[in-house]
Amino acid sequence: MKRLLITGLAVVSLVGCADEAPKIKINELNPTNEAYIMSDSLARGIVEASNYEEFNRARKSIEEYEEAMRTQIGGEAYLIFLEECNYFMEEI
Amino acid sequence: MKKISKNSKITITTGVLFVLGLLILTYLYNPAPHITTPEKDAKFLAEQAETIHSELDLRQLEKLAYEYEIAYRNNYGGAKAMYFKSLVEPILIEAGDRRDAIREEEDYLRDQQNLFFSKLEDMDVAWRMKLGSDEDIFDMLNANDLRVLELTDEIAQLQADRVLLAEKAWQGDGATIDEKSLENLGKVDEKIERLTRSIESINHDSEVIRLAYRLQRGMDFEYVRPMGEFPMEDETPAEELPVE
Repeated sequence: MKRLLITGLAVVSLVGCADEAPKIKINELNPTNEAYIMSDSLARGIVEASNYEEFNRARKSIEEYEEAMRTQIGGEAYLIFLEECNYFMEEI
Repeated sequence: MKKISKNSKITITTGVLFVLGLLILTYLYNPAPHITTPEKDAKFLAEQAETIHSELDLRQLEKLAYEYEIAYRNNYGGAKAMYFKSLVEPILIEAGDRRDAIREEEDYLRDQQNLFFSKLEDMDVAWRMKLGSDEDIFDMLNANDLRVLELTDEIAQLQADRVLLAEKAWQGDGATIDEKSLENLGKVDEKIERLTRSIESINHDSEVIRLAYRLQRGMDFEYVRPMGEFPMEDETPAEELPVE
């Protein structure tokens, strides 16, 4: 019974840890370059959406990436990402 | 010679240890900084200044510099304190500049973040908006613009009232202040601010309607604004007010 309980707890904690792992991993070696590439690609998805469902998917992607960029990298690269996205989105 | 009893010896030793302990604690927890030389202490503060990021950091550095100055004044007199102050002053000015620059960067970042999320939110609203016919859209935009014109006129009237109130508040020579007029002036300012925000909000609504048209119908909505004096998009009438 005790062994079963310990195994159960271990599995639960493993699942918990796995859930906390970030969905998006930013390339820490060259975040600025990634900020340029990803802002272009993600903002293009927003601008070129042809209906609400497409827009919604693109919005989810860009917001997830924004969060990853903000929490994992921040600083200059994050600012570049925001500026580039805003530039593209202002074009509409 | 009178022999000291064992109990008295213990009492004296405890007393001495207690006083020593108090002295050590006072030394350790003394809020005044332990000064060395003005150059060394100024160098230490310069190192601290390098780590400044926020308003709180700067306030703490200024407090520390002030405590050092007081410590110099108490221990060595005014001349050394003044010398220390002359070394530290440029460090504090540089730290202030550094903090200002950081604050500017933070403000810019926050603006970009707000723009990012507000643009996404506007587009979300625009995609979900039920547009109706071109006539309906024209009516909505026209109604918004007419309301903006009304509000702009109201603000112009309030600004004229404000000038009269300001003159009345600072009667003639500017030495006497009419409290009642001053109070009314504050109320007028608040109202102008409120109306200005309303104009911004209406203009934003119109912008989202046009965005909805572009997104859902793939083209710009052809629309001519009604005749009248519209405030510039990024111009707030309150800023045009003469400041007394």
